[in-house]
Amino acid sequence: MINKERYSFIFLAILAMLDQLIASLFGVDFTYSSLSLVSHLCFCGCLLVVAHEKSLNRFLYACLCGLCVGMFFTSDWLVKMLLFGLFGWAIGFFQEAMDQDHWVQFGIVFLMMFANDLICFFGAKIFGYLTMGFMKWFIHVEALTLIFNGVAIFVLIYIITVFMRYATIKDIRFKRMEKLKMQNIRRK
Amino acid sequence: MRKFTRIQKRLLTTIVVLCILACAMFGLRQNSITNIGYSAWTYLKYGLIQYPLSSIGNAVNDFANLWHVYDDNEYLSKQLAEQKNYQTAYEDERNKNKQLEGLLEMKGGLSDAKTISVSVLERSSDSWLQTVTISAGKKQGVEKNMLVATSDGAIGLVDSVQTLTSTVQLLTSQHLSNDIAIKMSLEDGTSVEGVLQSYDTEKKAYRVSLFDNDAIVTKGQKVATSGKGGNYPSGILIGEVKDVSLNDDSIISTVYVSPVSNMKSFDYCLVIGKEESK
Repeated sequence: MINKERYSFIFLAILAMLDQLIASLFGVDFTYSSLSLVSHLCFCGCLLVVAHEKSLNRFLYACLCGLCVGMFFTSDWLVKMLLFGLFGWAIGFFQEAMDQDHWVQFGIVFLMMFANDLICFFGAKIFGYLTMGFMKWFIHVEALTLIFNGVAIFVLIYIITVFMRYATIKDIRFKRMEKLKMQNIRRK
Repeated sequence: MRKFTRIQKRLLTTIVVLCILACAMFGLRQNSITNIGYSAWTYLKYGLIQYPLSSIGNAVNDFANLWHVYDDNEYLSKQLAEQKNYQTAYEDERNKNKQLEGLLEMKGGLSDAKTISVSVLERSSDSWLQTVTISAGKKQGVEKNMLVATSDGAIGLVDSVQTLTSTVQLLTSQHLSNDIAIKMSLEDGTSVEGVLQSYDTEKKAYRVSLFDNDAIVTKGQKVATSGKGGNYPSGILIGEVKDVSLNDDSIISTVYVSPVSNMKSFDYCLVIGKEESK
């Protein structure tokens, strides 16, 4: 039987590393003279992984994921923990809609990712960390981020779907084997 | 009170522990007295995560830059090849210039002779030491048996003349159509005359017969034209004495004269004739 938690942890760790790798390859241009992108693979992956969990589990998994990312990869662990936890918990409310169609799943994760960026932007603006205007930020940073992560969400949905099917098949086989073993024991 | 499941308890414990750890790190960073823990944590974070990731990023960047390096290399290779061409062209022009300067100097010293400056039009590889074609003929006043010289000295005789070109028989040719009268100035102030008859391919020197077999000839003596019996003036350098052959009675039988130094390769030369042959 597949230990989903373990695989999910490895999967999210890989995504977090990919985020860092992309950040080092295509760093944000803070002069805002050219377009930049910020990778949210780990955030989107986390939402997709925890979406089917119970509400408290969702929140705790997402919080832990955000905390680890914030501690090991960036330095804003508290903000990351709260945002991951908030959106991880919130995505559960769209569980039924997400199960119906992959497009809905994509749309919800995409919107949450955008909302996450908006919160970060306006939060930074309110606390005085950012002085640039919304339009400039949207054009120079967010536009390419949305395009890149939009494509990435599709890929992530595909990977997670394939993994879930594989895990389900493995579970069925495992249960069948268990059943057979039980039958053999009873016969003896 | 709601009871937590096992997994929830684990998650909560992990989160609380990590939060305490993160707060402690944050506190240590704020504390100016001790920042050892924070430094160790930062070092671990950098060494285990950020450094490997940035290294991978740099490697990927370097690989991407390989294409630029390839383009640069191509461009520089072309530049280098062109540079080599320029260098060769420069060397060639410098050699030509040197030859022309020599010829001009020589022309200045031959005020009583008729001189025609010419360039070499053709020198075929199968008759490299036999003949050359020069860029002057009847129209320019070239006549048969005029002497052809480079800045170093005589190299041949005009063999046949066309309207605008002439064929020169080089002195290194195995069958010279005409002998050349020569003169050697001896150390005692006198001079001895003779005839350049042929070219010895084995010794790579002209074979010269002297009229005075008792003359004392030593290696390195200059041999020049005497101006007698030909359509050219006297005093044009032919070469230097390379070897002397004696017969049984210790009388000079043949003198071997080495050709002038730039005999094998020249681009410009001077056709020299006597003034009265105009």
